[in-house]
Amino acid sequence: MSDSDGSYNEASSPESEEVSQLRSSSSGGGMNTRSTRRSNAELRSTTGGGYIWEDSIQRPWDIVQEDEGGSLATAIADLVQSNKRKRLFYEQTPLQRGIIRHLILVLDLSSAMADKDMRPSRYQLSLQYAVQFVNEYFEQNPISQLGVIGMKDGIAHLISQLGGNPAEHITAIQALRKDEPAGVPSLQNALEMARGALYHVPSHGTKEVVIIFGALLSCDPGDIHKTILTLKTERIRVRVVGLAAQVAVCKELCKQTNDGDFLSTYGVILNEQHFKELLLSACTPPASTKTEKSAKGKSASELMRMGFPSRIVETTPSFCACHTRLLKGGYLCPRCNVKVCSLPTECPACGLTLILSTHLARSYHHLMPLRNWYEVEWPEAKRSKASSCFGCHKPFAPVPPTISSSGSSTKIRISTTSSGSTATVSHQDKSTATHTSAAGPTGSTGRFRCPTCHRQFCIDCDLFAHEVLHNCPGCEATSPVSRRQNASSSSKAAAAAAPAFTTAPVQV
Amino acid sequence: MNAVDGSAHVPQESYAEELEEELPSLLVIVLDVSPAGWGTESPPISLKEAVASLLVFANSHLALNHSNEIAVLAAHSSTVRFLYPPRQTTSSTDESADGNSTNNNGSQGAKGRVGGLTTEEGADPSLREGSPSSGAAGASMYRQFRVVNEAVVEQLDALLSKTSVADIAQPSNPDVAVETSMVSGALSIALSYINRQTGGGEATSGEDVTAAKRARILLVSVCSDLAAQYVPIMNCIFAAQKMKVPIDICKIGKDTVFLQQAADTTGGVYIHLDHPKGLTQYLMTAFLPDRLLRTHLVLPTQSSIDFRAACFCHKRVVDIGYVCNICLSIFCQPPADRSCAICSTVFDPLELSDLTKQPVLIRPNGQKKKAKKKAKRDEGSATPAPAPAAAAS
Repeated sequence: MSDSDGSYNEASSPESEEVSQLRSSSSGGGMNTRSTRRSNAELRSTTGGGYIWEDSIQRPWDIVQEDEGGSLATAIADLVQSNKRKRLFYEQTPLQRGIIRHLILVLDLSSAMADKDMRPSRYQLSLQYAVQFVNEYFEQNPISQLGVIGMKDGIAHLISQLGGNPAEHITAIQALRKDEPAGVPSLQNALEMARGALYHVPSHGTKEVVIIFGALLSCDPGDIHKTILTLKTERIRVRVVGLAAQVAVCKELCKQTNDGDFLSTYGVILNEQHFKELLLSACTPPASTKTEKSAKGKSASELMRMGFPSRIVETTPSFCACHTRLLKGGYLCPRCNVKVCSLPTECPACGLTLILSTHLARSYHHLMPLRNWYEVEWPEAKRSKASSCFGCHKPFAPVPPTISSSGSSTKIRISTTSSGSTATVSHQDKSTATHTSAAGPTGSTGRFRCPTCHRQFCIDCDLFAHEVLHNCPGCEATSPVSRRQNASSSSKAAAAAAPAFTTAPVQV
Repeated sequence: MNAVDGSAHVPQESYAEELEEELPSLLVIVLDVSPAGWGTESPPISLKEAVASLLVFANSHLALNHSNEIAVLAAHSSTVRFLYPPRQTTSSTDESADGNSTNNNGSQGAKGRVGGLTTEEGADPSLREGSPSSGAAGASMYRQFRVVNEAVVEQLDALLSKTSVADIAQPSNPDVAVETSMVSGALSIALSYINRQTGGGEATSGEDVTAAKRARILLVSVCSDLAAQYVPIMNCIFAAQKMKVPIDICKIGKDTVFLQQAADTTGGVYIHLDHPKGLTQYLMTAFLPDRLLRTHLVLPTQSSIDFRAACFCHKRVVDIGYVCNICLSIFCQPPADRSCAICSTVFDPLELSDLTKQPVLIRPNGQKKKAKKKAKRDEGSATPAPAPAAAAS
């Protein structure tokens, strides 16, 4: 945290996002059923329902307060903490999700992207984020496919074909860096091309389009509303990340293709960080909707025949069938014994989908999400014996002897981290704990508790467990008896996913 | 001798520079201490010997670089415990302090930590005898080595002496011990610890991020039955891959497929010990070099890994399977009741019939006329699928 500007941007952005959320929900009247985080954000919003420019001006120097020592360290640390806590709400209902995805990424390469409102320019930044998106997409969706289309000079350019190899897409996107953005974009042309690319997709896969849209116009050869209707009937879902301002046709596009839910699918960025968040949120597999099923007339579920090839190591190199490269190792298709060099792929000879069992395991955490941990209140923190995070050993902030104001608690936290003599302090805490437990505590304990194993963790471990690990270290470290109970309950939850989901009100 | 070991061509100065620039590395050792694994009739190597070897290994890791750090975790059959650094009952030590300056205050902090523990006199001397820190050697020992050794032995002793028969008994059959250990839990905790120690998610100062330590995990495993922990272990593997933390596996006893996959995915070393008595040598030769050094070495590794999946219905190992697209469970054959056994999704009968369709064989010339009628009927599947597919249906 060397620069405070960054933290200010991050800290102030969510609030304005909330405001815009509130505004659009009051005007559009759309239902936001998917994101619990958003609804929480709306509840927490303290501003009125007006426009953001009608609010009183927020000055960064008002938010950041110096502490007694004249240092900004505490204020910055608080901002960082609150920023972390903001991300602590995760989707925890096990939803049916389209795991096998087919997604077309549409990049705006028009002259509007030459703007330098983001560093170094919109164009370069969006290409950089597009590469990150491709990496993240394939990491989270190993058995999915991706294609890239560019909008330039009023027509759509195919940048890379629909395929499962991230390296190909990344080289294609990197090659765009030397070009200059030019002309006007055409949404209709891009959507029609995406529709063509997604035409052959089997019914068990999802069809999605993600558009990075920098311009405020679309120069189309025909009626774009007809295209939108066709997309709707073909069940292609469109997400748009706007770089400038909300555009009516984009809103209409997202609304029509996502069963009226445009709040979670159409976002206009506030800053670079928000841009990245919006774009990468498209990496999570979309939940299957009830309307999707009913519109189809038959269920989208089916069995897929897949091959699990074995890896071979050869003493003499031989050509692989997919890229005709001379390699000493590879994988043999179990059906036709053709050698391929990388997985997952389709066998070039017999068309069997070849994957590793580990690829399937990579998607399991989408289906069995980790439950949210809740923050431990001070009275409970006093009762518990845990003094350090179960995961990483980090000592918790000791319980303050008197809980009168948030200022005192932070002060004590500072003193403990700077000096090593806290053992005596914590002893005093315990003696006074019983008296003040009824008092209304303020400030954060920095402790988070898993509802299943009741172990306490620090905020870093909470984020790590939910975003990277997808395991609870505490639950995994408990005895097999209780674990079996957990496992049975979680499998029940997974099994109940289908009926639970069909009751969810997704239709508009 | 210098000419023999091939280091003669390396200029002495540049070598020294490299050493100075070397980043400290963090090694997390996960020791599987499940009673079922070690307590067999004739164990290939006793736990005492194994711990002694591990401590030698841990000490040599610390000796490689002043700022190298170590953490030792024990994965018991019902719990996971930090052996070193021991979990604090009072929050007195700020552990981020001994990250970069281990030489000065780090050893002092560690001394204070262990000083409180060594006062306990309930330790079982039998375990301690096996460790290198025992006896007169302890007095003249390098401080950091002794700190680690004593803490590990103390904590391990405390853990094992607390274990009762009820803890390790199977709930269904109390006479038989549980044949598993909390490997997934230990890996999860190890990764959380690494995440913090390497500065991930920690935004207090910019220096920590640039001086991020390299970390790796060594798992000494004796248990073979980890099937129940498949999904959590896989999650750990992917997290480790994302964090670029190699997981080395030192396997005593039967091979475990998941752990082979773990080492392969994260770029670690998997060694199945053919001669467990030589554990020290295995550890010192194969597991001691850190990630950067390994690119220059030819390390023993597994040539072929079994990536085939076991079906969820009969636990058969399949090479062509059927996958439910809702829950991603694998079946060896399309289910008879046309619904997924795991998520109870009903499959589309039309699609199912496509899968179960028999391949049509092209007959030799003499029989062609006879088969003509039949072939017409099945025109939809004119592409002859090879025979192995028929075996699956």
